[in-house]
Amino acid sequence: MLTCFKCSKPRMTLTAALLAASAQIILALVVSGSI
Amino acid sequence: MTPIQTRQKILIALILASAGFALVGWLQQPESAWVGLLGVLTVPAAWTVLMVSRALSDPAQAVRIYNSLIGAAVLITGALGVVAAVALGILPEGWSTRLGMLSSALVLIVVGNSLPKKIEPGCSRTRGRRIQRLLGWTFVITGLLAIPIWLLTPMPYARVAGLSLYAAAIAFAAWSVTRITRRPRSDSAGS
Repeated sequence: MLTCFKCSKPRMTLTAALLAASAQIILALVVSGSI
Repeated sequence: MTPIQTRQKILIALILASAGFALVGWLQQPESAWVGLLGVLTVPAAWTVLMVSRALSDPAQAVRIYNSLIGAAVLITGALGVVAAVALGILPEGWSTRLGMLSSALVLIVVGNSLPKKIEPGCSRTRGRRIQRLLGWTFVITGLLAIPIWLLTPMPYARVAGLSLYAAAIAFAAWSVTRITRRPRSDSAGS
């Protein structure tokens, strides 16, 4: 999980959002036939 | 059955469904089997990383993480389903790409819209809010720009424009977040 770069508190919302966005990019690469 | 167990079962069902679609794709187009394998393994790999990193130890957080994993699994399973449908000749190839990209754009809009509404208090609330607002806006605008690209542009141009848009969004987000985090003290400055 991502953490705050200063106090190391967990950044739950950011982790979830970036996980979802990463899935979209992988999906886009697969669907477009780029990989 | 607890909410976590329900989500685990849904996740397993989605992973099995994606494996089934990937198998159909593999039987029809063996040369691109590794793409299906990559799709099938993505969610289990993410799940394993989350378990190993103990991110799922807190039940309240675990429910939210499982929701995210299910969202990702629905998209990947849907994409593999469309690929299987194209391999079987049920869907024309161009429209499978367009549908896949549209779902991707819509998810970016939904995620971007919800991101600034769940501000996490860290050591700097202002900086956290800035980062979440910035990423939220980046996701929403990227999604809104991607919709007409994938709906209206001829396929060869749509591929280049759509993927360039994502690359530009990643570069912009990375650059902007770096700028925000390098500011010495953002709590004292206004929002």
